[in-house]
Amino acid sequence: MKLDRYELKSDQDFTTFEFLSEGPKGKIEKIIQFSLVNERNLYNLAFGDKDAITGELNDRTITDNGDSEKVLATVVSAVYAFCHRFPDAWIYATGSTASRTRLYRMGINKYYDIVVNDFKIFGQELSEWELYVKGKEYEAFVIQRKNLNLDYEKHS
Amino acid sequence: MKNILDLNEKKIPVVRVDKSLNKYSKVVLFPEKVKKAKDAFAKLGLPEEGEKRKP
Repeated sequence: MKLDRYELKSDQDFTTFEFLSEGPKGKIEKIIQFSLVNERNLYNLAFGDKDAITGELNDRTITDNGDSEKVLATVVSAVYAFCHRFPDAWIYATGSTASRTRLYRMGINKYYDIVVNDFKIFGQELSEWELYVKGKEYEAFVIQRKNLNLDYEKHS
Repeated sequence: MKNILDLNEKKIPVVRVDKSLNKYSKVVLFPEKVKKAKDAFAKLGLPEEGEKRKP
């Protein structure tokens, strides 16, 4: 899997990740967080920009830093890292806006052929979950890891 | 010695633990999104539960 992606940092719990997006608009801190939703091991995936001055987080901005594919690849990478620590977790993701949801969908579609071997992927269509169909529009997504024998990087 | 591309072929990335991020560990940074997830779960459950409910 040759994905151009940013280096990730995380907290000790492996639930909050941070990376630096670099592009024409400079360096922008991005935060990814997996928050426990309920006792059924359901986590919410969210990510957004951290304002360099105020420290406030915004998951509605469209950064337009010319690196959206690399950002998506980094988020996918964080999902792998999180699931390595929490192999039974279900991860729910939806956008804060329609365009954000489209971004998630683009991410899944782009890496579908890779991730479908490692994750069960479902899409929400109206009031039902169905197995994800590549290219179809969904309101939200839920995934769970199914392949427990993944290769991982070693610190050099 | 492995180069960056070799490392990048691995699916689980190297993640460096940064203790400065621990301040976020117990904080929900995106509460609106978590509420959406709770609402969706209340309405739909988890997928396999739905699958089991189907005849």
